[in-house]
Amino acid sequence: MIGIAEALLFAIFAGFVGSLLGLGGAVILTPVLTFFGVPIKIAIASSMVAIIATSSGSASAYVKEGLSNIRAAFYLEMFTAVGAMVGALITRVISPVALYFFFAAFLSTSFYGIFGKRNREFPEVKQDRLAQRLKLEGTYFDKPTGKDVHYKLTRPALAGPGMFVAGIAAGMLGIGAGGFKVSIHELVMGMPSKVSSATSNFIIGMTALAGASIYFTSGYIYLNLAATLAIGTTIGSMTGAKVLPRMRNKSVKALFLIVLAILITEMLYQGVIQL
Amino acid sequence: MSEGPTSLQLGISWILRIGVILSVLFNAAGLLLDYAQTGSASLNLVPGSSWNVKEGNFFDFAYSTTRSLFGGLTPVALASLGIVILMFTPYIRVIAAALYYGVERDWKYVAITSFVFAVITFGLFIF
Repeated sequence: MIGIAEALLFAIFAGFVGSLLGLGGAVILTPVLTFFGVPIKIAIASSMVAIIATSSGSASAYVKEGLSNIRAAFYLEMFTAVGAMVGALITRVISPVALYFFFAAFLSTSFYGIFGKRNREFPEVKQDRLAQRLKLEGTYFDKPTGKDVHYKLTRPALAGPGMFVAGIAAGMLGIGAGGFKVSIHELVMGMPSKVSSATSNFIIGMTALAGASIYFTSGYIYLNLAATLAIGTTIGSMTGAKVLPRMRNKSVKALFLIVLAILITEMLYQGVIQL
Repeated sequence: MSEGPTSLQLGISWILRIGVILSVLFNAAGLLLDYAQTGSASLNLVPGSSWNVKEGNFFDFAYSTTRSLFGGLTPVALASLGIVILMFTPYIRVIAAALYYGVERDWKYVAITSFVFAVITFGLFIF
């Protein structure tokens, strides 16, 4: 069985990567913990708690720097929080096997879409009416270019249902679903990659909170493991939050594509072994 | 350079920062105290052990954590407090945002943040 020191090190790494890419880190932690003999349900439950730490640790810096778009985050949280609870409810009656294939297909489409835009540093967006009414725009200081970047977002009406589906994925599969969220932010709403990562980090804490509560009743939470992972992901995410503002959007996108490929493989693998 | 952070950005940033720092401190204190008492740094994941949460919903867990703290600062009580603080952190930032938008009279976002708050509260109670 894994010891506290090893779990802490893996959690620091997961928090670091998660904070750069808008992921909670469950995609790293859950497989690692199960590899070391932690039962899958306990690994998922502890990872859900760790996601909240990654989210709050990194978002504390991103919000202050203006990288997280708070308005967009709260708007999208409405959908993802409901989705997470619907997912947590239906997972009691529906096997997630088919979902693994569905989400693998969804992420493959995202991979294709983001790959096509991999060389675009700043997206060009024509804001629609609803996005204007919701004041979905923002400004951040871009350290690599030394300039203020003003951006506008669009198509919130389409992004909402997309985030609902991402929430279902989170609730059913016990993940933060950051990979889904970042894809929707970039492909549907036209968020710059860094804003997308930072906003996803802000949102995943709330999605994980909605999803994690179910694990309290089911007895899968072990405080010693959850506390260790939370400490690690907090340290990792606060460190990562110092790195992201210095990165170019293109670099974030390239790194995200690699993780997306791993996620697709993991979804397909999980689906196949549970057939 | 862009204008500095808004009061909402600063407020939320501080809520999150204080929340995660307190959580790390209590979690670390719990684990270190356990190590001091048992001399073991392994993760004991045995069902029914004192580290295993068996309470009902999250609010039950928060309540029993508060009560256990009055019984003394045990490793489990300290780590429980760390997890409770961690989980309350995103919850409190929604309340802060709703209050901010209320003061700003931005009713659209008062409705949005209140809805998120209601959904999360409902979720924490029913599961």
